[in-house]
Amino acid sequence: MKKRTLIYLAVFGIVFSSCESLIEVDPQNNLSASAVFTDIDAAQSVLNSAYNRLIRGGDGQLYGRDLKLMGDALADNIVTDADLAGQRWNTVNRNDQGAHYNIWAQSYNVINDVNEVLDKTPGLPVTPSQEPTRNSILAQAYTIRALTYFNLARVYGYEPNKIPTTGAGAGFDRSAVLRLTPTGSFADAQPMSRSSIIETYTQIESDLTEAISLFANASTPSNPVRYFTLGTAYALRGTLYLYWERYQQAIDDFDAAFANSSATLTDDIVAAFTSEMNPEAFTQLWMDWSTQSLGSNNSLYSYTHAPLWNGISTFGGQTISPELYNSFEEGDSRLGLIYVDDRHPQYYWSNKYNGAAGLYADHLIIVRYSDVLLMKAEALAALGQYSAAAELIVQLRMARNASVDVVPTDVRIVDYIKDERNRELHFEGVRFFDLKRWGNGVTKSAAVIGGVGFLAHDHHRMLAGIPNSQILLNPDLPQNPGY
Amino acid sequence: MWKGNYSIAIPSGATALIFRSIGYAEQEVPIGSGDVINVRLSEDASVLTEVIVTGYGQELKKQSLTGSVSVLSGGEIENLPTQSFDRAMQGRLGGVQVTSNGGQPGGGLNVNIRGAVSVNGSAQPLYIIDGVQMNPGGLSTQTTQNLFSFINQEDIESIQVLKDAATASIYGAQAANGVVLVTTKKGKAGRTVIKVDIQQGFQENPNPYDLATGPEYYEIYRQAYYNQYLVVSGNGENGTRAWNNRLYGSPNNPDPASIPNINWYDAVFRKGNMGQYNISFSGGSEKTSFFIGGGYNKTEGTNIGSDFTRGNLRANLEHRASDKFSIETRINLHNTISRGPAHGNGFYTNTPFTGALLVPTLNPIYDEEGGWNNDLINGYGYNIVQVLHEEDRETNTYGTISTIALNYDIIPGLRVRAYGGVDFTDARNFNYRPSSIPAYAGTGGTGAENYYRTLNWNTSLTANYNTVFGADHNFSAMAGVEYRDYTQRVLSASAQGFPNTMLRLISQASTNTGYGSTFTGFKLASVIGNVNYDYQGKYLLSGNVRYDGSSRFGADNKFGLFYGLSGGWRLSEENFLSDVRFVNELKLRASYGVTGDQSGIGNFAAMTLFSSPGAGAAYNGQPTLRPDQIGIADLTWEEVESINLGLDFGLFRNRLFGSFDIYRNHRNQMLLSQQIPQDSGYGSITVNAGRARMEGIDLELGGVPVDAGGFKWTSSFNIALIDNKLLELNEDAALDRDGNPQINDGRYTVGKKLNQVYTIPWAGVNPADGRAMYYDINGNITYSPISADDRRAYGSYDPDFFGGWTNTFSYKGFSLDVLFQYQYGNMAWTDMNYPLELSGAYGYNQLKSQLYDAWSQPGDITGVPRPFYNGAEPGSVAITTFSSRWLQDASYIRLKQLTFGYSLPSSVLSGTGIQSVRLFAQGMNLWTITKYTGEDPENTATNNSMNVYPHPRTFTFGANITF
Repeated sequence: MKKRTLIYLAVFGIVFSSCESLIEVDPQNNLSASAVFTDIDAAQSVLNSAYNRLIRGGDGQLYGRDLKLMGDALADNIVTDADLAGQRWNTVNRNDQGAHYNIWAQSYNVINDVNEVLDKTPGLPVTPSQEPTRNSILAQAYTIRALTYFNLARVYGYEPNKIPTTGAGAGFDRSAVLRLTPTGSFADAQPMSRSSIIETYTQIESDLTEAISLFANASTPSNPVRYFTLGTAYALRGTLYLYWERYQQAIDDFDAAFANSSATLTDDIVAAFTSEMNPEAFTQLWMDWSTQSLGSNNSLYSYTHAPLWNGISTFGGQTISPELYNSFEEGDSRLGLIYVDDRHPQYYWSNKYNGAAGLYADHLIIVRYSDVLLMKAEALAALGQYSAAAELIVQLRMARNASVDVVPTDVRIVDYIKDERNRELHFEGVRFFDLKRWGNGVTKSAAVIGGVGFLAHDHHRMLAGIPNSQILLNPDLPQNPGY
Repeated sequence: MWKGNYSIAIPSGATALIFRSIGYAEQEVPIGSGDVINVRLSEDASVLTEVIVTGYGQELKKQSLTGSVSVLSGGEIENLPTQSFDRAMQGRLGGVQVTSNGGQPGGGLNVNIRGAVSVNGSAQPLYIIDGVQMNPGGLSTQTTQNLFSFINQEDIESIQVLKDAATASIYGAQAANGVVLVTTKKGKAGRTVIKVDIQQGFQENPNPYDLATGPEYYEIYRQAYYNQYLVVSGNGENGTRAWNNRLYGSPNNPDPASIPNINWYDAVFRKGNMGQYNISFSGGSEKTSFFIGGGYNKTEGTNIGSDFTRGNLRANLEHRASDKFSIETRINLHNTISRGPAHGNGFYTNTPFTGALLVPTLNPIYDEEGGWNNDLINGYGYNIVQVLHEEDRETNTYGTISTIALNYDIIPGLRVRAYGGVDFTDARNFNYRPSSIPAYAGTGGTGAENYYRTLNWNTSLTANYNTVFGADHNFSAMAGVEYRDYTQRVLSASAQGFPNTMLRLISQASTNTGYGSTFTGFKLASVIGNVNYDYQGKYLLSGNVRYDGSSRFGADNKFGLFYGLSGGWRLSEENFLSDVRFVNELKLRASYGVTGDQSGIGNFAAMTLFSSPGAGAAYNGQPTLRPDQIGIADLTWEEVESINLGLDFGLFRNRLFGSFDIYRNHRNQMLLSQQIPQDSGYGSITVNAGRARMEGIDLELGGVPVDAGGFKWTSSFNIALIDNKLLELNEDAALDRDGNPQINDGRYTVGKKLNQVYTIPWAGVNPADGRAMYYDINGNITYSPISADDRRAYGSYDPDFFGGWTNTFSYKGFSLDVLFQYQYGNMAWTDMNYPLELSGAYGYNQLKSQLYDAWSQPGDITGVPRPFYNGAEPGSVAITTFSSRWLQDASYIRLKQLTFGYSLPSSVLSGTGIQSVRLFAQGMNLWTITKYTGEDPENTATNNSMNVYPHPRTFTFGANITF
């Protein structure tokens, strides 16, 4: 017996002598960072993460919900019914302090994903036949970074030529924090301060220019509309130039965008929005409805359809403002995307997010043909080329079965484009940014009870506040004025 | 009951015999003229004579103890109508605070020993059940199910709490928050004893809120709309019309008598029945002893759809194979089914408490045809009564907590023990939301099912040596190795689109919406040692050491050393006290030790990792790799350094006894979530950075104030005073206004108590216009305070002191047990009042006060602002702005338990074969004194108590029969 005990003790002792390996556990859910970038497929997988975050980041704080719709509530397109909406965006619609876009954290998650791709992909071993794929991945990554910085720039900062000279934000020229390399360790995560508006715009321009040159020697993925492409990159750079008021460059890029995209101007706008793929889309973020929809809690469908419309549970209370509805003339085919719910006859509802991709799911358009068309018209008008601008508006309105004799061909076209732009693009996330870059403030719908009524361009709530925790961490960030 | 005979020669002059036995009260019997003196010793209520199990099979009489240990014997918690033993510890153990965060029977609890606070760690003790190391928690994703509900309370012999680091340090990196040792019963040689326990009863939740009726609801919102429209558009009548339009589709005022008033609360809450039934057989021979038992517990929650069912089987066996070799095994098999509504705290309209309180009372529950009414005004798409009836939420867990130990005595005094223990569970979580509930009609019904398989085992090999040399020197030592391995795998699937609400299996649905397969785990390998020495039982010394390696620690910091030293001096054994007759026991103790807490480190937190989150994170059907976390290679445990000074005493023949402990713990290298700039792509990482001090006094007092004429009153009182202070934080933590580092919005601020409450000061209602007012940082009244700048400190979520007071009165066969528990000085939010006191802002039902106490005309002095729809008066912050309005002192005293028992006299039972019968009736949570107006001051475990319904008032009656 004694001997047996001793043997047992000895065995135990041997087992325990190799302690280090005894207490190793492989985290099977995860992969060590050093084991990730092995080949070009890995780069594509990390890029996929960025795409997915654009759809699902946060509760839809990027394109899944907020970048598509919140701006319309901040601006003049939406009247929120607080009770139907379960209080969602009630305060946003009133422009209460702090009720604004909150894309900071989610945007930088996207940027860190693509920074990983941009940092590691050039070092991956590729065969000559894989080079076009590598270029495609890098070009997409640059485009995503540019778009994400552009969103940060327009949510948290002013446009280069629209910095107010009065009010809390007078002369305030800070924009995004520019992080261009991935965060691989705690040491990489040191606080940085925000760059200036010009620095940020210049970086976005540089990323898009880089993307455009890489796309020239890149492979095309199957179903290219589901990815960022050369046409999208041109359209985005044109948009940047339009915000920057560099109109001729904008026009050139918009032309290049049309030339490098399969998107077309549809003459059946209702069918375009109720089909899974919208023929006007330059890029459409593709979601698998069964596993990726944001559901009744956060989807665009839910926000824009009253509870139990068609028996579907929602938190829908974001309705079309009477002013917007009244801006349409009878017969305009875009009215086909607006409906009335008999249970709430006082409201008009938008059906742009109708579950075309499945329950609570719509593939999310990043750049739409008519948007580019309208921006080009706007740039032409800004350069005084009124009749050229008017031609584009006529082209659009004909496609929408709207009258064309009302389209002015003189300086009045400038304002007409702005109105037409809203008739065409309402509930697609551009309205607030448009009003902001035009610099004339936001006149809220008269149907909004309470709130600011009119949000002047120099009111600090034209900019979103940066999350307070970030300011506590780095007061020199700095916070936006008034927060 | 032991019986024995004795004979003794009595010296001349002797006047009395003194009878002593461990575990029994000393009894002095005068010597009369007769030859025969029979005595029957009664069990000693004094804790001083108890045997303490200090871990790894070591036993020690309490009088030899040099550390700080609280003991609860199984007898004290027998027959309690609680589903898990941790709940039964509240009020009965000094320095042990138990709080809960839900009303689900058998649900999760928080246990804090000596005010343990950790910013990110669990601050929960290590539990050791018959040697199996377990961490508190649960396996339910559908409701809440406490791991410790798997143990039948009636099987417990004793619960011991190791409170100071010197004692707990034998458990090293897991011991910093104290250790709870649970030992189950074993058989004794002798005749087989059969025990049958039956208990039946019910529990209920009185509605703590005075809710508005249907007509009152109408009127609050009519005024709220009126006031809003008056301010915004200058026409209040338009507001009334808008409200009528919303309700009735017509602007005309309704006939108030026609507005229904429906009691949703009573439709959701009920009198829940409960019953527990146990049978056990114990006994044995010289060689073999056994305790075999089975139990069944069925407890209905106080809301419909909620219940707890447990069946368990136990076999504890010991066999002495030879005079050197013995085997012990303890086997527990259990099945626990918890069914109930959504767990967790917070604002969910599909959960019973918020659901029942917030739905406007003018909504009928049923429609005119008797079906569910789902055309609810401001009901947010859920008829809560329907949801509770039709949705399935269940966790069904099978498992075992079983051990085996082999003991071999190599030479007298040297014993080797090989031990293995396992805690295995397989938990099925199931959720089904039928399409008959409108909220789930769009998806065609949804189903989700997952299995949690957890294997948690530990094994040890130890050697014990005991010897006495030179007659006076007692020496014992223990050394060994231990290994613990915890793994958990989850397999899950979800789907939607069921063809029929009777079909509820995932494979029957049309669309897969998710599937998962995940893994987590950790490992610990350790070397342990212990030495005890005493001289004449007078001077006591003890030391522990443990060297732990953990898979959770960072690569540069894999191993840690923990240790404890303690000493005691039994003054009562000294000659100079031998004349002091009233002192029976007096011992001074001192200890110092270092323990660790690895609970704040995630299993893989120290590593830099990418994840592949599966279908939900894929893009266009292609897989994803995603940066997940950045790790720190030197990440390590939190360390608690503890000094404890104690005094144990027993006076007046141990009729007054107790212990007094004063301690100071320093919690070093606290694990903190270091905020890093979000623009880095990460929100935070875990670092070792903070330092805090916790100090306090534990006092346990027991006594027998009256023992005369057959009437006996025993009483035991405990109080724990705690104080703490945060000494350091990471350098990069944000600074508060005074330049002190702080995190979590001031909850942890250097130089202040831990768990600070920071909020905006509420200044009441402006008598001139009925608007809510606040104070800014300069003490000026404002309508629009700034949340970050105007907050002030309002004390702490931690109490200043807490404890309990147990009394037992017995006379003849009757007994009465009374337990009070109390807590003083902690702040708590009245979270549930918050949506109910919003002055008609958001459509929810409101308290009556929002109508009758609201400001209505200039000059009104009231605390309730005027009704105002849609959140905020122009120029004011939203009425939902959190402020001291919903913050209260949550001190309380509660009559926790009242049990009246009667034991049938043996004369009645003679000849029946029944040894004893005890009948009892008891009530729990009968009466509470508190100024806190939230639902339950005992429910302040988290700082969000919304959706947490009160501890039910429970009444049971039962019988214990012994054959």
